[in-house]
Amino acid sequence: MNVKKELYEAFSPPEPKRKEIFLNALPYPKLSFSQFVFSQIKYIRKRVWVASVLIVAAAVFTVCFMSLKAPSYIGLPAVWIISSLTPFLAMLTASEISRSNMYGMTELETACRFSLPQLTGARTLILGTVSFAVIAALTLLSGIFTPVGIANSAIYILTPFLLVNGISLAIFSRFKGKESGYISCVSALFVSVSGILLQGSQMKIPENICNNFCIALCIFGTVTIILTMKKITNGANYYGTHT
Amino acid sequence: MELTLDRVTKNYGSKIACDRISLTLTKGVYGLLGANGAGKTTLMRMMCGILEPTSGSISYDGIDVSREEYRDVLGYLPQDFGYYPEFTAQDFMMYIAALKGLPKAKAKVRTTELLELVSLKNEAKKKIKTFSGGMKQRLGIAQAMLNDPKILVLDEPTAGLDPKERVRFRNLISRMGADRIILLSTHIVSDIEHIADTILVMKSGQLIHSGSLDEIIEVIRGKVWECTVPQDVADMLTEKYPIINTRNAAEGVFLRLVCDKKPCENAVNTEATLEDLYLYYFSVEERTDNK
Repeated sequence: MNVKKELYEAFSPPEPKRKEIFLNALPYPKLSFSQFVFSQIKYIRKRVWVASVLIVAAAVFTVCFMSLKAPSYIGLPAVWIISSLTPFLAMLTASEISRSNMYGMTELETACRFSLPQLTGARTLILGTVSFAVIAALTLLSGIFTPVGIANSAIYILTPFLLVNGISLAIFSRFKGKESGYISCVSALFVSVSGILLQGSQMKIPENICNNFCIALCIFGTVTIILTMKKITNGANYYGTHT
Repeated sequence: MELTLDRVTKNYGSKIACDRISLTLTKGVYGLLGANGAGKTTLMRMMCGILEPTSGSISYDGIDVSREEYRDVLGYLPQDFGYYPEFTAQDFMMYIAALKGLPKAKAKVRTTELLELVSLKNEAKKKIKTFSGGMKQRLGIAQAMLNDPKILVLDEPTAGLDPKERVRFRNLISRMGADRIILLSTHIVSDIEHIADTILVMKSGQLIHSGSLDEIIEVIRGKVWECTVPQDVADMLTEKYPIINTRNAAEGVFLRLVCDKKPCENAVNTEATLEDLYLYYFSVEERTDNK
């Protein structure tokens, strides 16, 4: 006779008491910052990914179409068309970084373990990587398949991106709700169209003047981005007037 | 377990929102009472690291409010909180869980438990934008408890809850107060009366009272009177004394008022409540302002 087996069959084990409380009280490993950054990828809205893919696809299409159907336009006109796409990516990136302010989540997010500055840092890291990949793809495409060269292409493509990113971040940090989205969209459209119009006009701007102007705009955009990011990550700015 | 506030002050230009508040909070439920603009929300925001005090310090067991370790043991429900429009209740909970550093498996378990606790289990997959005010408030309470916080700060947690939900919430807070520090502010005096072990009263940025219900009420004990008088006497009493309640009755006007001595012949002394104290303090303020 197997006593152990007999005992097992004769008695049912008692129901565990306070099992839930015990399990909840057990320490568990918390997310590290890198795990937190990865966890935020799925909260980036789909439209950013879709826009990134569409912009690269549109740039490839532009280069292919012009090479085949309008070879005389394959120089600067092609680069300006490609660069006119980047303001929309810049606008989407800025709206994603500033989401907390737009939707009134700053207070809640600031009080969490990974607070608003870390959250903004995580979003910036993810969106910065995506934007860098898109800008790099567009620059290589323009630099290799047009006679403009990689350095000039990089300047012409970065200028509208940085400018609109800076302007949009400033708009989103100042205004809440849908209005900020509309204003930012108008600014993206304005920068996008004005680049093409300027290039299409009969004005012959010397290359060095054009490049210097673009570099100045890049610096302006970058400074605006840095200053606004500082403002966004300082949660106290949003509550300074409340009691 | 000790949350220490040492001469915490917050100025907005020349306006002092919180004036040298010193407190030591241990396990238990603390109710924060005060009129609009008394500085309750500012104090709570400073305790959650959202606002930086102009001077003074806040720490939990020696950990400064600005540190990640402090936020790790903190749960906060703001007075008004937003949400991303595409979020369902479950998405919102999982998102906040990630911000609180909970691993995915733990976050899922806690989300299910807490949504059930606040009776939102069946609405877990519904978008928050379709929720009523009470449902949003319950979701806010659930997110505050995701990390099983040691410090729970709730700014107007019962706003928008119906009486049944309020009773459930009060019971929940009472249970939770056994092993953590809970600070809640509300205009619903009866909520604080029922659940707070210690009541803190704020006025014009200063902490004017701190103590148990009995200790707090002591200030007006024996000074609350009820009487039914003709209209002209009622008008005279209203001019002279802070009125807690007034109602038209068959025999005249019923008054409940605070007065050091018997205000009229037929006045009857009654038991003071926290609501009497609250209305007394803030009606005195209004009367002073009007003068």
